[in-house]
Amino acid sequence: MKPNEITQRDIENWTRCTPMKQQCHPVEDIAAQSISDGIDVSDAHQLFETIAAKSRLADLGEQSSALAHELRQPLFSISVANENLRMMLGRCDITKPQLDKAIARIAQQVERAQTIIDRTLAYASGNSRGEVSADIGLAASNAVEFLRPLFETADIEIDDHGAHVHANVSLCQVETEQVFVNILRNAAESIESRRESGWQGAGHIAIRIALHEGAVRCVVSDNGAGLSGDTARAVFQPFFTTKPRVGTGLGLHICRRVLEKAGGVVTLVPDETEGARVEIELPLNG
Amino acid sequence: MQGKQALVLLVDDVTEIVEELLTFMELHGIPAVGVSDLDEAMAALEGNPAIRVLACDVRLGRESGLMIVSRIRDHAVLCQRPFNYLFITGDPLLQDPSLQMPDHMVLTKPVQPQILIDVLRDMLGELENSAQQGDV
Repeated sequence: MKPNEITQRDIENWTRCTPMKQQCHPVEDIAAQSISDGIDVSDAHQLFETIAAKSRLADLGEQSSALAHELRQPLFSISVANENLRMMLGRCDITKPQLDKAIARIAQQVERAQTIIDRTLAYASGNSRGEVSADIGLAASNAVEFLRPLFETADIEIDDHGAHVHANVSLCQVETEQVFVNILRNAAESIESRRESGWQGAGHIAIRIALHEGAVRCVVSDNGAGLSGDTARAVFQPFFTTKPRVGTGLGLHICRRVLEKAGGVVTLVPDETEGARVEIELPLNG
Repeated sequence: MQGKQALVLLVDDVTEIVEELLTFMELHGIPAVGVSDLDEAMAALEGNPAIRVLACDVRLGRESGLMIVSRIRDHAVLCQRPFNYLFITGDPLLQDPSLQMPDHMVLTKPVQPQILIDVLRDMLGELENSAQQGDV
């Protein structure tokens, strides 16, 4: 079995621990209900962690070709810089600054490749667990960078100028990034879906983050296919998906569960003109 | 190599790659110019009448490097000039019949430098031979 494979057993366990009637309740209510149903709360939390980790690995699987593309850039620079250095060493008209420049370029590109690998592994392993403070603006920015190759391939413009806000919330950083990755990926898929039905417009996703009375409000809007009011309410249920061949149906459900841990709420709203927007509200940390 | 007219145009949106490739070409005695997008590429072609080989990245930010072919085809002056096309890609390149591509080479990043220089020399020689035979 692949490590990122979400099995039938996961589905059965998850459905047992999170009955449908509890989906819109705060996490404390879920815990209380779980106890009254004879379900161990720590088991439920453990299951959630497992499902969330598998979902992140599934994200990585989908991103693997983009990751390969991204790593090939510094590798190509290193390869050519190394050859340049080799040729320069065999010539007598090359100055020390020229050699230093080639050496610095190789070191710089190795660092770039290392950054790509570190960022990817951090997302996959969730290695910021234990921290209980996340910068929501940084999480949005990291999620955009993680998905940048996807946006470029799909020719989708990202407007994140309104997301450069530093606001700490009571979540771990990787979880918060996972929330944005799931929401942004859904937005991109909605734009692709609209194109598949013949639309030829320019794909656009905007992220806005604002502080208001002890809370942070974040809106991610897209000009994709949009959705009905019924679908907007159903998308947060586990294993609900509009793309059964490729989706796990867990992305937005995980978002809601993660945000609820910090007392946050998330809603998906069909836009009046085109597309849809996801609205998140979270209390600020401290 | 100063004063020699550029024969090769390098197009890549990663500045570091363009810089290293320009140094590489200079060390091999091949005059080249480098740019980062298709608009700059068209301007470079207009300003450098000796360019005969285009070495172009396929993914140029939000643009496709493959579109350089149609941009040249639609250009009143540049469409008269013969070019050899080399596309350098970090992704598997699928054929798209609708693009009506001329003969071209594709190399996958990270390209081995020796292979790159061999291909470029072949392309430059190929055009010289064609020109001498009156094919172009």
